Amino acid sequence: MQTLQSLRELFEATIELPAAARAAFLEGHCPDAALRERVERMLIADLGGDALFTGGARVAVDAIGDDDVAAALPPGSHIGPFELVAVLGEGGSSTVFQARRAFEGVEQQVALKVLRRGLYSPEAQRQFRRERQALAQLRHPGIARLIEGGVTPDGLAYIALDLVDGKPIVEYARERRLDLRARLALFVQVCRAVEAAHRALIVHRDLKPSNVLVTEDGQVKLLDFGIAKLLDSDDETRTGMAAFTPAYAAPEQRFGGLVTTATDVYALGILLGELVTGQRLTGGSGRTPSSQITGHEGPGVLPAPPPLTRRALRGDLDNILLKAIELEPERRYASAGALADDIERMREGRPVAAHPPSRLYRAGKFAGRHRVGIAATATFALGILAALGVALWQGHIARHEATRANAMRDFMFSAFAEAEPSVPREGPPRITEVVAQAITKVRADAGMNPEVRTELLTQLGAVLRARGRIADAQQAMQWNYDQARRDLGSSDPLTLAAGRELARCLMLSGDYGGSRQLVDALIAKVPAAKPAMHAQLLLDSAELATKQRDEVRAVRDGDDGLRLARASGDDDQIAYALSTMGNVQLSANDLAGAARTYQELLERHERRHGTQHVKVATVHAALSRVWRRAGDLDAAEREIHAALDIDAGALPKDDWRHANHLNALTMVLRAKREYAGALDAAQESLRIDRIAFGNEHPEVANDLRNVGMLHAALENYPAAVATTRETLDLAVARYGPENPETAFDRANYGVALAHSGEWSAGEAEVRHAIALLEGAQKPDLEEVASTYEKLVRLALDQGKAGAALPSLDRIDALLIRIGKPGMYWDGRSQLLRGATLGALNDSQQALPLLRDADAALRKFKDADPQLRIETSLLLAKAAQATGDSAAAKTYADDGLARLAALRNPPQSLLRLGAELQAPATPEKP
Amino acid sequence: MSDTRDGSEQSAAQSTDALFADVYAQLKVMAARQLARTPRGSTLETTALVHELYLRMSAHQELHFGHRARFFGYAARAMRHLLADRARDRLRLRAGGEWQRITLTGSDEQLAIDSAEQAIALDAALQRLEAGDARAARVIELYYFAGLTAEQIAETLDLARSTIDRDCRFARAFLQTELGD
Repeated sequence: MQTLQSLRELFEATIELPAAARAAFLEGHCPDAALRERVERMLIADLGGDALFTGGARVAVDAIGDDDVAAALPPGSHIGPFELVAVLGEGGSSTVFQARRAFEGVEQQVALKVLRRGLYSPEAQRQFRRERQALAQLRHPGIARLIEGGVTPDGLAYIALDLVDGKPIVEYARERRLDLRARLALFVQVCRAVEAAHRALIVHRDLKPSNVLVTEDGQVKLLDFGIAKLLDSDDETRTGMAAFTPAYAAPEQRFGGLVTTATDVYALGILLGELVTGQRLTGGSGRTPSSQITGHEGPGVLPAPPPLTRRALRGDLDNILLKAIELEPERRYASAGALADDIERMREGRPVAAHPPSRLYRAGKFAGRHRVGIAATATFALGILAALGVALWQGHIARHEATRANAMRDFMFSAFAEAEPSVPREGPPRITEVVAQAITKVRADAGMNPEVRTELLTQLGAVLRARGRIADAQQAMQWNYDQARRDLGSSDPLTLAAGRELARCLMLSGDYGGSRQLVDALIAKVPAAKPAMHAQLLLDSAELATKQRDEVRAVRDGDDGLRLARASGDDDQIAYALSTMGNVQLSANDLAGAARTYQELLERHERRHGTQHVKVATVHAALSRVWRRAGDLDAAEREIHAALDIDAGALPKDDWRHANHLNALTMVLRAKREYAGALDAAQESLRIDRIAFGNEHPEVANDLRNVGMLHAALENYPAAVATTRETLDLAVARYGPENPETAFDRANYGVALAHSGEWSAGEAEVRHAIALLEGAQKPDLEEVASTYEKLVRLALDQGKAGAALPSLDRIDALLIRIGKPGMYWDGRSQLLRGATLGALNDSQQALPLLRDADAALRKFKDADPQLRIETSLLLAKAAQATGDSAAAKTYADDGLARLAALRNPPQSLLRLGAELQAPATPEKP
Repeated sequence: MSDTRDGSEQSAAQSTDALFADVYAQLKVMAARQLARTPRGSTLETTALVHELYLRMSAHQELHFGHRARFFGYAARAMRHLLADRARDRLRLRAGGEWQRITLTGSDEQLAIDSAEQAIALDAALQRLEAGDARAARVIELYYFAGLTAEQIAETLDLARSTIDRDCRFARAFLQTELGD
């Protein structure tokens, strides 16, 4: 502003001068009379000190004082359309009047709540109207209706509610001497009303007997639903401090934490306790409610004489009460509905969720009872929300971020509400559908707070990713990360978390380079004050390095991450770091290290959770993988059976973790060549994963791949063709038809197809797979070579050994390029060429190759026994052909003995063995 | 104000609003708590509130503002709103014309109303100062509403002490003459 600037310049120039010179200076420099007059007044103000500012704002706040609504609004005053009749009550946040108005020709009596604080900013008024609208839509026979609400022109906010003629629930039960059954029925009615509100996204926040009335005819009416939130946070706190009984407020409410549906559950638990024990229970006291009955209760306080009440409460009802008033919200019932369900289960003699999981107990209650059917959509949604709530808690959401968390929860509520199908369909909506819809909605909502948006999308993306929808997740996470960088800056913790999720998606979709670039950038930006995030990023980096086969980096970052986690002393972080580290070591083939890491994790988990916990089972399964890789198949089998035994007691039926353990069993049995058992385990794992994850999940593809390979190992080719085809279709759907990631499945399908008799079609598929692999940006040379190996085998199996030669040349060229190929290749290429030359009757050249192969395979302890037998038998054949019958016999004896001991020998080997056992037809040299 | 975030004006403004809302909500909670603890009419320690909030937020390491400057800027702004709202509450009840029995004595009542009117006028004058000389307005906000000393303001805004003194002197004189009209 031009004038203000010149005013300041003039003012500052003048005050520099001695008082006597000022008038003349102004006269000379300021022709504008008004401006001059202003400066003169400012000079006087400057001399006068700062009366206005002495003591700061607190003096002004103090002088203005506090007001008193009831005093300012005597009966007869008007607010909006209502005329006040009498004061019904006064809380810290508001005053309740009985009021009336003429409505459609009839006089209507209402309870009028007038907020103590005016709402002045358009923002506050908008917020009030939005909340009020939500409340107005809350229609339930058990809830007093919100009739109207508004803000008067001078900022006075009011709400008109049904004027309910009833008694507080506890008083009602005592006056009528209700028995336990009647009290529980009344309480379930309360829960159902609260549940209806929860489903409409509204948390009561202030449940207590005086807000839970029962009318003359036994109808429950809840008052003041969600009013606490309408009243804004300061008043809410005041209510908590001054007006209402803190006894009903959950800990998170008293200490300014995250208010959720579980907050209402706590209040309901205290209310139920009061109804059945006469006492207000205290969360976290550890005393069973039944033990708190003193025997000195007045008439009607207890539902039955003290000894009978104690007995009736002991067990299930005690457990239900204790679960409802757990100090940590995530340990309570997730909603009022879940609490009501448990009470009804108890009344019907079914097992209640509140009981500690004990097999004996479950078995006792489950006898002769069917499994509970499919959950209704609403229950399902609430379950997910509960899980999300827990996730938010685990994410260490700060208390002052409660607003953000609330916004997220509210959003999720609405997302699930909208996921209700418009047309009838079977079962609840799929999680991935709901989440994908929610993501679309978030992205379309331009007005959403960027922090809420970023965190929500990150969480939603993680769900999609975990459910195997990698491409969708990656696309959403890229958008999220770009937006977060723009709106929050690139080193904001929320931006870093968004980036981390994107990096995970990139890694899973196979873009290791992109993921690496991002992870490195994130690590460079993570603030020193966030060691937990730093540790997580390092562990991500280790996992990524493993995939990139950068073992040095993997171990280094894994070590650093683990060290940071250990320094934090946080058990969960250490456990997470150990399990990532074990994985890294396993991939780096550091089997001893992996065994040590998992052993430590096992001990930690056993100490914390006992020996029968699912976390313990998971580590047993990991150890099984380590021992299998180390070649100790018996130890591997022992570990995996330990895991499966725990599953039976600790996991519900068809849990995905059980499938994971079955997968480990599949691998052990396969290594032991017990293909039939392995196939059973793989098929069971597939069945469970399909239920748990849906068809598109990578786990399902993996199971299917195993089933296909096991059918092939059992030489059941029609089944193998069908299964490998299905696996290939899934891969194509996931990555696109020409993606190198589909090559492995295409090659498997080709091999099965060829063996089923369609040789040329099968071979074409394998060649297609090779083309895909070779066309990759950074071809995986070992995989290219092993796919050529499949072509060689197909040629040999078809009796067209000559056709194998070009592939053999490719393999050798590739192995030279690789330089130091893995142990898989020890002796293998010599064997392949030896077999080919032998089949081409060039035994002279085959012999030295096969001898090399034999020597290499003998050195390699865990060599595939099939290869060694094949080598011996081929050597016998070649020796025979070259006339060295002594050597031929030695080789044949060795090979045949091993063949006889081999489980599930393939037909090709059996044929080879049969040829050698048949009387040799002497060959001409 | 220094905004280290890159990106469009609009989204920066949005996240600023959200931060402000956070600080504001916290201050209101703490103010209410303090008032509930003490008898009506007693002192609201605004400075203590702001500093307590700062300590709490920084102790949790969840301060998204990056540095003190933003925090105290928001806190001062929040206090300013708090004061203006309270002043409006006071005037609203009087405007209703029904204010008969009240907890204050007659002279206190006049003081309350005068103070409320003055607080609202101050808010408006600050807006005018802001429009022409944003830095001076900010300095005076930090001084008056957040209770920072000139030394602390200089440190917080990373400006020379002499600049703060000059801003302060000008802003005071400006505001006092604005209110005097």
